[in-house]
Amino acid sequence: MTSNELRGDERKALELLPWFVNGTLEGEERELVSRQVLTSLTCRKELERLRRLHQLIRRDDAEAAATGRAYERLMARIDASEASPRSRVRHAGRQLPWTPFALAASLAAAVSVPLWWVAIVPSTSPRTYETLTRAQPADPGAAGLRVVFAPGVTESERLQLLASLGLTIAEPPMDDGVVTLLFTDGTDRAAIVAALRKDPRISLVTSPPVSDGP
Amino acid sequence: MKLRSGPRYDPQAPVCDPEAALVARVAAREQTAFAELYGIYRRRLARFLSRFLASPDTIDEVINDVMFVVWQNAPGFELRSKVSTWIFGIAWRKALKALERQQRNVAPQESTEEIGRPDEAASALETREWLSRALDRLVPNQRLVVELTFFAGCSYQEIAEIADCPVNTVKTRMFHARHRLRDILVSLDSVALEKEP
Repeated sequence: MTSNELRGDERKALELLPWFVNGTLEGEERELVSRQVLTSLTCRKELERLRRLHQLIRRDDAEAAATGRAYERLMARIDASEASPRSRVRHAGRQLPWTPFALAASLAAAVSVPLWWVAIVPSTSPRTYETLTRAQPADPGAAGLRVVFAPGVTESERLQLLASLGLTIAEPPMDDGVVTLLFTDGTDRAAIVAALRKDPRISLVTSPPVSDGP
Repeated sequence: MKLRSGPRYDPQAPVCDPEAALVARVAAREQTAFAELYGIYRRRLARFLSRFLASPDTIDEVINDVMFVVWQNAPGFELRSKVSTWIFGIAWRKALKALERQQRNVAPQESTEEIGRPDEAASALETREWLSRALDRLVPNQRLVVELTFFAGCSYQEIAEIADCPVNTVKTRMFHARHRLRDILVSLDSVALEKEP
């Protein structure tokens, strides 16, 4: 082997050293670098430096910036995308084993949700636009809660949350997203309000002001 | 993504790689698998993206963009490349877009200002700060190669796939990065490192 070839091998080894250090070099390239490290002082010095750099970079492990909230936002986005017509078109060609079940569930939801709305919303009820702090009904016992769900919370999540707290929908969402809820008799209202305030699926909760009357 | 290397995808072959198995479950729309994959990559992506993006909010946003693409494209993922190569590739492209959006000045810092070197008795934190400033001197393409090599442990072929460039370009970028970091590398001769935990 000539001195030129040796220098060529040394140059090649120096070039490949970073991947020798991270352990991804294989076969002939790995052997070439191993040989050069034994025979070349330049290679050995550079190898030591790169090893130290490797150690430092691996330890420089910044705290993850993302939070649990970030994951919730992502899932909300995914829910929204899965529900969008564009997404349905894009996934239409997929042959997945759960597709028939998903279709059946979608059909059931498509039929049941309108029926559910019809059932809870009297067709004669006037659609009013009020503020969150509007006056409460005269009977405090009948007073409900007003909440705004966080963006991206799906219908099924809403229903599940309300059912778990024994709440029913008194008025459907208004244009500003406010939903009026009713307590079930005998429930601990303060506890329910506290639970709703802590729940990330709820953006805003207002409890009814207790009025002593005029 | 162009694929230049890696094993051919064999749909009949069992999925042995745990991350690839997770992606297969994500492709079947298993949210628990997706949560697991998110947990694995959240920290790695945050660390990776923090080298290119300054704002934690932007990093958060880009991580979600990346994982959203992962969710959407999981059914089309084939085992021609490693899951990490695939995900870091998406992250790199999203990071570039975020950089463009921010119109952040990512040009190489040509100043010859000495970064100085940490005192030998300096804490590990100071050494990291010093290293971080040194890495910030690299242009994004060079930083990408250094990060993927030393932090993510990628081969140069994988980096070529992620950066969508020939392997020789990867080697050239590493060469220039090392040249730019040469002061640091020489100084590392005398930096006492803590023992590995």
